Amino acid sequence: MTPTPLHRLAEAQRAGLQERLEAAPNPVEEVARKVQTQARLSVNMKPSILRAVLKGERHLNMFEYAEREARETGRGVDEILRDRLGDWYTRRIAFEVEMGGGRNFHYHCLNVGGLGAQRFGRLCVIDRRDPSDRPPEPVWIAWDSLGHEEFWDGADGLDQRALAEWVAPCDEPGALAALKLAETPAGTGPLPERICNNEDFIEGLCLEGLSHSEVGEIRSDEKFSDDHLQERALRIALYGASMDEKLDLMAAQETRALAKDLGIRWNVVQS
Amino acid sequence: MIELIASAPDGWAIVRDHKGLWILRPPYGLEDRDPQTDLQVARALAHEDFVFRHLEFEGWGSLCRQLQEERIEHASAEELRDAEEVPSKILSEATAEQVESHLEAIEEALRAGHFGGARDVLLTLMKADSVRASKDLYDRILGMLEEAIQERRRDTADAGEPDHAWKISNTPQLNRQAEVVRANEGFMNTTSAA
Repeated sequence: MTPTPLHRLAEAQRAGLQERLEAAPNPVEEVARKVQTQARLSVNMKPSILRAVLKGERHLNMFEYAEREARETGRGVDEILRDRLGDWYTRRIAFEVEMGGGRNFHYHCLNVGGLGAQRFGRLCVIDRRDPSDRPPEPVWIAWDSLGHEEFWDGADGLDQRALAEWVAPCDEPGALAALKLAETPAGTGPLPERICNNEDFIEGLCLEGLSHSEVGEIRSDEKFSDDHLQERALRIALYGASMDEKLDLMAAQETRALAKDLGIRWNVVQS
Repeated sequence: MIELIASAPDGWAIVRDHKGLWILRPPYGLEDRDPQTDLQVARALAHEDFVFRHLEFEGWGSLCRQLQEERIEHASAEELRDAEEVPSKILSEATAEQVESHLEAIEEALRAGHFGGARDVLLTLMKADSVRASKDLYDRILGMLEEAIQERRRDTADAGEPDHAWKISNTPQLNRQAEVVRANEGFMNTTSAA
């Protein structure tokens, strides 16, 4: 795979990251070690999107969604993206143009356990591959590349020097995460939640979308547990329910069954 | 007023009310909505299969009813049929522990007079592998089933309904019960022999 400008920018930071890590206090090294050994890419999805992936579709990025809509409606991809991204359009396109070198990214998260950024979808899908083993993917960015104000100037132009301080190549998630937590303490909760939660996460950018053969694990809250599905089924069978509720139960059951058929682990995590 | 900004074929919706932006999910209970920032909404709109709607509703109730109706309209005949059967499908895969827990809930339902639902669930549970593997569970369910039928008969008699009316309307159910019991005879014999 030909590296993008973002890949090159991350690679150029390798030595600097290590220097900063060595200058940091001891606990940082421990965080770096933990993250380095447990790091995985995750992406949170709605159940319907996960079902499409489990049925064989590759997970789409925003450009691919817009292209699909463009084919169906005859509208232009740029017009669709402008509508959907609203005030964030300028930044996202600037980032893709400057850092993608003509290609477009899939935005995932660094995950070391937990349910990921659930507001983006209730199901946390974990890539089974060790991210360090598939260079040059992914590139890690310590903050949300779209929303982190320090990466952007007043005119929504990308500040590449600010970005460069907080990117890391695929095999350095531990160093980047430890430096982020050291320089901007993010509370005292469990490490997985400090690394990835609804408000804050470390991005993992790839050029390829996830397919079902790469899914190693799916994590959900109790609402997708076997016991909860049983309780819902019992309540509906005993007392009746709207068709809408039955459709929802069917969707949950189908998602679990697809994962089981593919031999994908499903872990229920207390939320 | 509430604005439905966008919705997706799976029934998820992006909504704005006087408090801000929300993601709303089926089955549209209070716990099925989460607050969103402007950035999170932009990301959802760009990364998911949402379609802009820009419709106004008087309140959450009318919005949820509209989304429920649309979800059913979008479903195929096959999906609607499968959705009717999914509770039974799930219950027939219950583990022994889950069946134990279900039986407690069914006893409550029987005490509250939900005879029809209780009888159907008991018939479904009789087919579960976990029940077929446990004579105790099977016998307990059979006992509850007989009780449900007796209670239902007493209930209809007390209500002054002609006894035959219930028998006729429930003949398919009774046939199903007989079918399940017959299907389990082999299991019962094997267990007794063991």
